[in-house]
Amino acid sequence: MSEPVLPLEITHLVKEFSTKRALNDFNLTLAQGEIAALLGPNGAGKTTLIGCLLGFLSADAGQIRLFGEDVNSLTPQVRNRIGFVPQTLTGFTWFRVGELLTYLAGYRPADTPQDDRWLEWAALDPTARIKSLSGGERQRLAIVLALRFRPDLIVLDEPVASLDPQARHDFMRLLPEYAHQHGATVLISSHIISDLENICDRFVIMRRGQIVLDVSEAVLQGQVRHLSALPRPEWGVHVLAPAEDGGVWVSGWQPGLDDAALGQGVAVQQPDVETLFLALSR
Amino acid sequence: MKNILHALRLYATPIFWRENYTLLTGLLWTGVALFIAFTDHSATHWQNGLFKLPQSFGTWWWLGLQAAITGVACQYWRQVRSPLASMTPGMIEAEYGAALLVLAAVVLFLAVPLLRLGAPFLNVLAQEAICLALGVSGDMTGPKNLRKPVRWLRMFMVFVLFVAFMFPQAQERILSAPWYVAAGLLAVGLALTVIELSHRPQPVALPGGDALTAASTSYENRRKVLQAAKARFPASRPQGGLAERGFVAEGAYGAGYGGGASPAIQSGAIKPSSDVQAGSGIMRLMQWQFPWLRKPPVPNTMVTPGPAGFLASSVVVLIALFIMNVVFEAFQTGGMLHWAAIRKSMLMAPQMICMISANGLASWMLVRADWPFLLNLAGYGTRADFARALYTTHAKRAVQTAALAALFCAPLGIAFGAEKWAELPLCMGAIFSVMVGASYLPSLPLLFTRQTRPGVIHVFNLLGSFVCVQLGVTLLFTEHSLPEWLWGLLFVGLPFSAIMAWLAPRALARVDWPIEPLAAP
Repeated sequence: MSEPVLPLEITHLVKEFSTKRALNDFNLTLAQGEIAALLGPNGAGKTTLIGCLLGFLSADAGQIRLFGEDVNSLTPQVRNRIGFVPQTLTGFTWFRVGELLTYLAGYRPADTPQDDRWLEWAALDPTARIKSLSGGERQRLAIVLALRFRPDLIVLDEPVASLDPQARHDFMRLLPEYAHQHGATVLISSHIISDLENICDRFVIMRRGQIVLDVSEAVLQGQVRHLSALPRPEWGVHVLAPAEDGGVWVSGWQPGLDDAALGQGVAVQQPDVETLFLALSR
Repeated sequence: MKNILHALRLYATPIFWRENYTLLTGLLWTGVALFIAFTDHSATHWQNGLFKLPQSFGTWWWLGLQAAITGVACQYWRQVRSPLASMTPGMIEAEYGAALLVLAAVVLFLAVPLLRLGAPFLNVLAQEAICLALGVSGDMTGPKNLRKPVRWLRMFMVFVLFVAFMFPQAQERILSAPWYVAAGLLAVGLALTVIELSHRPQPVALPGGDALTAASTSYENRRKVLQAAKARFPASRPQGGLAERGFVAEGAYGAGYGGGASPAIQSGAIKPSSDVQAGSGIMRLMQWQFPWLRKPPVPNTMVTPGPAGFLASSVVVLIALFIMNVVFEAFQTGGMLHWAAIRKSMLMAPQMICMISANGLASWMLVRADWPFLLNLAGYGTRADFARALYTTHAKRAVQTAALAALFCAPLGIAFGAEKWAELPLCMGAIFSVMVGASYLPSLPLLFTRQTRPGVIHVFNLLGSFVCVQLGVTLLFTEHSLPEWLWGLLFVGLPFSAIMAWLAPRALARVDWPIEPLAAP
């Protein structure tokens, strides 16, 4: 039996901009149906990574494969399986909403399945000029354009920053619902970590062009802990980063260690992604 | 093919015309060229083996063709540069095919007036192929990827060829060339066009790229505005520096109209710009400006050439036109220069100088991205105060530029044309009046609508600079004596300007100012 084709495989990716190495030997693989959060401080290389994996930027070294095809020679069939939501929708201000939707749809095969939930969610006036849309409305249009043709891999770069709370809440509810329903893989970059905590089953934290933590939600909840003091060597855990309160973040925690820590007077806390992210991105 | 037809349909919709202002220009000029061609009743245009174009037809036809091609290229580039295009399989290829088909249609349509005049078809196509190669290279994405010297060389060559072919003499050489030369030029022009359009630009709006552009733009704007605001408060203004003596590097200083600056600005913590010190002595001389125009309220678009700058650029235009006329004359006559013919052709110089100067006078009305920012942070007070500040500066710019143009161009026109020196003051007055009047034409739509589209302002600006000014200056120095009513018409500019100077600031304060994005893709 042949191995399933992975939606995304990045191996040893390097991208440099004149004097700065934005991505440094970056490796990431996403399996079908995974919803992964891409986190990192400003300048960590998230946007560069997204630019490379969509083929907008050419990598200096390494390889990116989307559904088994090299990103530099994607067939239209594979390209049609990818949806991208940028930070802001730019260009096409000379179109009306309906005109742009119709125009771009014209490049899809007639039998391309559609998902109308996004059009309903966006509630945009088809006669409105794109030029006259607010930032949030433009972003809703960008989401509709990326998702309505049922992509199998969705890449979202800060998709909700300009959405109002209601639209953001609804989008964050619809996105995992859609992904689970269609088995779509999602890579979402956002600074609103509380949103991601609720929908992602994997967290990839970047810093200076490299991954500093790549854990699944299950591992995060089961094996990552905040300790009020340094762990004992015999516990066999790995210190991830110092915490702001003088404690440390560790990985490799086992349920049996709770009592040992208690005996040593070390307080153990379940992680929350935001404080872990703050510790790792310092 | 299905995709190409899909992309092609856009050209038959208003989408093609929206925000594509060059098309309007092209329509105007093509209309003039068609009018001249179809009202021409000469038996033949062939003289001694040379195809001679009717008076002024060549320039209008060339400008119309160039504008139409640039309009189509604009549509192509703006469609394919978006990341959405890269993400939509088949779209870039379809847009490419559609652009080529539309360009072919434009070329065939604009061949009609020349064919009507009797020019050979192959030569007409050769001439148009050169225009195609120049017109489609207008996109900046490709050249930005080139090394700087190559980019400059390319820009220089495009500019030189564009200007050279505005001369009927240059077009006449192509239209009269043997078939094999025409075929060669046609092949080269088409090849360059296809190569240029085949270039696949990196999406301009890369994820994050836009934010970077916007950040740099807004930083630049912010820096300038802070300087502008600071300059408005004497206590915090640098004393005795170059700026005080009129040497302004960027002209980025605000005008002193009511209201108060924000506390951050008033604190005086902002250091004077190092740019004021920058530049060589010659550059500083070129940038020297009279005190009344040193602090434009909109720094980016209201910077006006000072007298030295105006004189230098006018002399450059004059010399360039002279060299081109001499070269064309030498080509046409096999080295025998006829000074009378060159002198007559040089009448183009005052026309061009006035037209170029007038065209820049109202461009500030088209770029409004800075306005809300300036109104809020630069301490102009109310919208009415800000509008008044803009129009006061506009009036100063228009009067100064028109006066310089009149002083420089009227003697030139008389020297090259048929007017008498005794009519010099009258000619100067007419040029001044037409230029100032034309500068207020783009403000006219403000009086009638609350939402003024940039396209409408653009059309009125063209109407002022290319029709009123160019036509006015052409008529002024024509061989035929002007009827009195036409003199009167030339002087209508002055009362019109006075009325507009009174009405336009109120109208501008009343209309909507669109909050446009800082960096359009």
